[in-house]
Amino acid sequence: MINGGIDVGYYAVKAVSGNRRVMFPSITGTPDKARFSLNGNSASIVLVSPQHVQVGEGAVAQSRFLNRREDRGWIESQEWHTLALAALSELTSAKLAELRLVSGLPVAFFKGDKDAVRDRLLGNHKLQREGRHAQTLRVVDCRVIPQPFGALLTATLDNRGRIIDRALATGTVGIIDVGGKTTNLLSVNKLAEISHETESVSAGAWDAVRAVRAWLSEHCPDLDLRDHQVMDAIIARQVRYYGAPVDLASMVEATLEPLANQVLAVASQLWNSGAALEAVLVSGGGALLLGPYICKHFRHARVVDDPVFANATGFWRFAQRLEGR
Amino acid sequence: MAKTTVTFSLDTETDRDILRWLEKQAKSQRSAAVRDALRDHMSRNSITLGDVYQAVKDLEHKLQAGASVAAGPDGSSNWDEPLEAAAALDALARL
Repeated sequence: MINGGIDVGYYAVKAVSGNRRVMFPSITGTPDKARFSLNGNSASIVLVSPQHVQVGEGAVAQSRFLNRREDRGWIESQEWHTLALAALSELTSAKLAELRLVSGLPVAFFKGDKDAVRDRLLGNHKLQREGRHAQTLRVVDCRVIPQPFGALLTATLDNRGRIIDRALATGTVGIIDVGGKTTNLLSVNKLAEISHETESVSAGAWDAVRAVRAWLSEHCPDLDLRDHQVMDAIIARQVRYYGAPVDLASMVEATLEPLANQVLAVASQLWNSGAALEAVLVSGGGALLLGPYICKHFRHARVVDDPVFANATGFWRFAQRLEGR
Repeated sequence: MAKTTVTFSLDTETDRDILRWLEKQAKSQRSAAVRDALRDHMSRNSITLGDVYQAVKDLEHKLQAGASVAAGPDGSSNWDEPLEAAAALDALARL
């Protein structure tokens, strides 16, 4: 049995199983290929079954036509299913394997969509990657939990799923999970959700990337950066244009500060000063962008280790715990 | 090196198996056979370096096969979890 954590986000798909960690953009595209490649297209994920489609970085680089959805209905879509299959095929290349999966959903959509996600992941999945044998991956157990629990479980459990941080496990903790499209705020006491202190905000790292991309298209029109390169530029507060540095500090501040304020306004409504919380954990792909603002506001806030993978890692550790039960 | 003679008694009924075994030994070798039997018994009831080596090798094989060892953060085998937090995780699994 393979235990896995899978986090299919609007911005990127993350999956973790033991030491195996994969991440790729949540993009599918036509299976076009470069006529030659110096690096062997090692990042390319091409499914030939159940659909012939290219996924992730390979799609961004090679596909003539791309699909990227940001609507809530995408859970029911073929694209979502393709991304999930691609993630599972990255976790194992076995011809036949049984899996126990834990996945997550944004707090706001959890009740409405959890059954749909579980039903889509449970059962037999027949797929084939280009250059590989056909695979049958049997998901025999699947649990769906509110997304920000992933980061909390990463901080609280060890790799066998046992509670190792008693302070977090027995205290009241706030989690701010900054995703691509949504930011989830969750408060738990002794690892149980405090529902009236939990909220979702329709803002995330993707909004910052979009804003900076718009600014760059106006001020550096010949610069063609991919999303993660824009993210790197935001973190570095700088981009190079025709060999010269372009300072992005002021425009990045002008972009991130209102975004952070939007999140902090909701956090303050839920938790006031946060003084009663044992800690405020900041996770997600946008944690490195909004983390400094959140840490400035809540002095006991901290960005968790490896925030991009925090949810998927927590899901995997929870799957490990379920195995021991 | 001085010799010493040790005598011991046997019951013809309850120790019949020992008597039969002694009768099977050549008369000139009976003392040696008894000495070997006693040494064999003594070594079986004590842990030798060979026993430790074999146990380590067995453990190594088990770990290579994927077994894991339960231990607390302090290395102890006791593992207490806060009960309410553990119950909350059980509830989370049932959501």
